Amino acid sequence: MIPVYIVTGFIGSGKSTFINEQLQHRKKLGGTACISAEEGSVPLIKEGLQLNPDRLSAIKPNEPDTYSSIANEIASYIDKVKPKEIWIEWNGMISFHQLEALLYSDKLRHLLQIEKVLYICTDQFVASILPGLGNDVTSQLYSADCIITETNTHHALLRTYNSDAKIVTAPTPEKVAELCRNSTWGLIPNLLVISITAYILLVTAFRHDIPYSIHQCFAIITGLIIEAIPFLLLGTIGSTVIRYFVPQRILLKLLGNHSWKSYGAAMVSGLALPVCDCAIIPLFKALTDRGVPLSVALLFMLASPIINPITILSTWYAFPDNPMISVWRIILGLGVALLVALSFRFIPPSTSMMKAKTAQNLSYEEIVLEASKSKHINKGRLLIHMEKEFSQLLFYFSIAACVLSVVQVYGKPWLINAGITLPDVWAIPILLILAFFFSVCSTSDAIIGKSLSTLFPMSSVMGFLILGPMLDIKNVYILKQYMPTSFILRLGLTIVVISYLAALGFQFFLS
Amino acid sequence: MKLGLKDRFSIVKGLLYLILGICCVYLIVTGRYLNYIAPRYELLLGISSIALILGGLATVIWAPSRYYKHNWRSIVPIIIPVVLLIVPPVLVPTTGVQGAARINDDTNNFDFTNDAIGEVITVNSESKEPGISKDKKEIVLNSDNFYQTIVKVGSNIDQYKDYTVYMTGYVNRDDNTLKSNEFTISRMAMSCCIADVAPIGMTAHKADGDSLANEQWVSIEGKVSTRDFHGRQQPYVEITKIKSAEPILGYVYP
Repeated sequence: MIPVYIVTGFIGSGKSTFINEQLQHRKKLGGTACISAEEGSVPLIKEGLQLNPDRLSAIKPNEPDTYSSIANEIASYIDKVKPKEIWIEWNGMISFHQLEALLYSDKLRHLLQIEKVLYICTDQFVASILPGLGNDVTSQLYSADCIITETNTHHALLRTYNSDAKIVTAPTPEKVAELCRNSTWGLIPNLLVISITAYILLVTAFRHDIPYSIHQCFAIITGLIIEAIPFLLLGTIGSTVIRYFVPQRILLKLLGNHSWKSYGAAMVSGLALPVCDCAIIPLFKALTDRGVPLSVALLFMLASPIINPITILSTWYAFPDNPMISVWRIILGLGVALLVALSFRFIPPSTSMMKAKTAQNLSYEEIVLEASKSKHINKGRLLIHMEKEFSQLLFYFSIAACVLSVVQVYGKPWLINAGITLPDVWAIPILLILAFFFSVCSTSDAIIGKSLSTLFPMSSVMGFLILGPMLDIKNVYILKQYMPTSFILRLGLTIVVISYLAALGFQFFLS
Repeated sequence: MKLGLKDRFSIVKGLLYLILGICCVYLIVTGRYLNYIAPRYELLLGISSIALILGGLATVIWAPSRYYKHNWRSIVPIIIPVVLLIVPPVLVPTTGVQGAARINDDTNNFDFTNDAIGEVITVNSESKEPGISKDKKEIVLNSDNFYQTIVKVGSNIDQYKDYTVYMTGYVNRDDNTLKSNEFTISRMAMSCCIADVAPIGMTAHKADGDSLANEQWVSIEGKVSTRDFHGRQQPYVEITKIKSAEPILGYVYP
């Protein structure tokens, strides 16, 4: 297998100069072959195979016929030159997936191995050109192992395109050579292997040596996840249906102005939308983009997760002996959502606060699909969307389940043994904080609320059930991609204060 | 498209979903899901496991052409349940108070002639019909009606006063407000999932009840009686006959 180094970036960013520097530094000119897909102004010092960009952009990754002749050309070039390593200068405007299709084709995949992908960019390009470019460029940035910049001004922006690449500023050729030698095997796979091994050792070889409480933690995590899977799946399927099969204009017709009709529709539309809080936020963004007033869209975002049928069903399931909990959750939840939305209606945030801020939140599969420019909704796209949404939901749920299991196994006996009976005034803030940090999906948080109800008074659990769907770590995380931090801060504080008052009200008047 | 051209990472992901689905089916078929969640979730879990299996197959079949970079983070959430289910933690503590799938089911044997604790009793040589019998004024608890019956008796205490109760459970002395010859005959109850497992039972009184060890499994015969507890009528069982019993593994469900 011949190692392949891919250098890519916008035209004029200095790819050829960069490759020339590297080739000179590595002193392996004889054993190196170059393949170029860019017609730049600086020639490569090692003349190589020149590929025609027009032919490359005609590659359709799913149709091998479209690239087999180019693959043959490359294969015969390799056969002729017999290089020890290959440097490819890829065209800055052609999707990275087209290069992948080429290099992973039947002809080449047994010959070549992609070693490193380097993306080179100038500050001016990142600041002014990149945001306007399409998904072809995004796919290159996403796939890069290394992003090379002129200064460190725009690192944060580049991070939104690629969260795990190494971003280096004006590196020396020695530094680049070192980066190229480093392993691509990232942090997450390493951690995965370590933690799975540790876990298996714990529960098999050392199963009798560790305290039972550790087993109990794992058992609780398993139980919570098994119980949540059906609800998470339902939420995922529901949101996919809404996203792809309900026309937006119907939503707009219902929610277009400040009338009571719009507010009412925003509140109850959750009934028809079996989606969870994280799925609602992208819809919230779409609604505001299409001219729905901010307060109406907010009300929709906050109310839908509470009034959605799966949430109601799971709350009813979780508190079988007390159906009034479900009713009060809906009434108080809608009340809080309405008050928060109205606060934004009458004290609107300043326009500077609302300055648009967008970032990349697409997975590579989605980038590739978007780049293929087909607007056709096919089964593959639906599947990719559902899979991504489900795995994200499951990810946050698993974290919440871990935290909860520790609280259950260690926190609960400690609380009981310590004999601290918290006054209710404290229990409510504590559970509001827990609701934020647990970040459980609204479709399954009732289950967790139920187990908390053995520890805390019902009023605080009600606070947990009201706040959880509206505000938690994952909501903030998702919302941050659309809205400025100051907006999220204001929204969060308003929700916390009003939920606290609602829980207090529940305590004094209803329980 | 040929398999070699497909994205290997997507295939792995699809297989993981498939395995997760199969694990869920296995849980249902063997009844082990009862260790984790209440029986009323069986149908939902079954549908989900089919969905997971189909989704996994579709992910493999419709896998896109190969990618260079893999989003490892996206398989973490699927690996977690798969590993937890394939290599499960120990679910039964040594005391045998709560437990794995019902291994020894309740025998309903309230024959007190062969008494290990040492009382001399010679009644009831037959096993009892479970449930509340108005004619015989009898309440017989088993795993299937334990939770419901206790809730029923607790909320209509006047109606069931002086009924004879037969039940099997373990001696639970967690309640600090009880005297040394009082305890709760309990079973572990699961209302939703393993995270909310808690004991449920009936308070019982026996003159020499302090000799019984905590967490000892017993079968009893007793009379339902009431007493005043902070201004509320609370049911309790005056034990007339008692014998030690085999632990019943498994939870009771609402």
